Amino acid sequence: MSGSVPGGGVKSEPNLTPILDMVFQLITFFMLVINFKSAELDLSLQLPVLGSAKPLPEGANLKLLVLNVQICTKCPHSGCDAFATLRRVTDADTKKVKSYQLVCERGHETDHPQGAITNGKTCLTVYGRLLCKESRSKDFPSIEEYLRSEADLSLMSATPPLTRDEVIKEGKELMDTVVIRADTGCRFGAVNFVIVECQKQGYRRFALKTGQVEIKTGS
Amino acid sequence: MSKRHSAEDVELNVTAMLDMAFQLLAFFILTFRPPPGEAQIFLKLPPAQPVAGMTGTERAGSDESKDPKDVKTTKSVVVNLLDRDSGSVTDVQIGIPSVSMKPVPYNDLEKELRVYFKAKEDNEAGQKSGQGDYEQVVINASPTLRWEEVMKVVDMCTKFTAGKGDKLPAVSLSAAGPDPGG
Repeated sequence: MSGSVPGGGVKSEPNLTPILDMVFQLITFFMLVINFKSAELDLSLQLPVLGSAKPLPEGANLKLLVLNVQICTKCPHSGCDAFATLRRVTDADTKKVKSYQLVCERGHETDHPQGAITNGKTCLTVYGRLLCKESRSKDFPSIEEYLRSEADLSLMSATPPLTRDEVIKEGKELMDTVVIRADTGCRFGAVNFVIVECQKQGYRRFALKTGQVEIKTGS
Repeated sequence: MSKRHSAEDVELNVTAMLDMAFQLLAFFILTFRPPPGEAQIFLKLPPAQPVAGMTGTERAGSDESKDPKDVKTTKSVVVNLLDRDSGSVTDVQIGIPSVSMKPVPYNDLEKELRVYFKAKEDNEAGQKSGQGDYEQVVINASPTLRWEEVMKVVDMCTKFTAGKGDKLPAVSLSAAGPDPGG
């Protein structure tokens, strides 16, 4: 795109079409790889690392119910009545845990000496909400209420639709897979509570999440 | 320069479109977060079948309303993991509760499981191990034990096959007593 200008000089314009093509290619790439599913994963959890666990098979068409199991405690910040969960502070270079913090729902951060909350409550993290054994408000149902509503949804979406009685009394099972993402430092009692609650609602298939084995690349 | 443009030649101004495309690109780059590499162990966890001789435990889904005589019991091997409130495994017992529970060192647990189940690697090598008619491993752990330790034992159990087929032994989890945390 160039042409003569009355003054005698040459006006040159860069051709923007190739750069626009390339930018559209990049946009398409990022749009395709964007993963909304990671919103339901609580990335602050440290999962146990085991050798025999396998990644999810490609193209597996499983309906998943992701449950992030943690232990929470009252926020130690004065005047705050929210619940706090443990977060690891890792070194950016070595990826090793430097220290631990309690981070509450309102964002208060308090240093915590140990790697586990010893006497806390069982809680589920669902899209950033902390659900405990007892209901706190309409937006924070109890673990049982939450699982019941999820089970109702999968009862309706099953083909043919199931009723609650068929599941509870006749032992029919829900086809959904419950994904248990529990922190390494979580107590077994807490995870077992969640599993038992799921079994009460008719879930039978479980996937226990583990982290991937780190491949050591020299020293 | 010498190219002649006709009077009707219309050129589209792509600068504005490029600006918008860069905005979109910036948004997608900033919100891009690669999914974490995770793996899983798939388990079918039915509510635990009653095990003869096991009492005083909170078992996953055990049906207490039925008369114990009417309930079919599964041939189960029980692994007790005790932690003495330390969070790590301190004592391990393995066996059949109505017969005998044998304390074993934690490092020998895999060897002891071989007594009851067939190891996958032995199957492949054509060797025979285990009696092969036990169907279930009940991992009966202290509620204060850390999840990591329980997963290590679940991992061990997935290396075996139960019964005559190649099926995994049914793993069932149960907590020995109530969770003190709540």
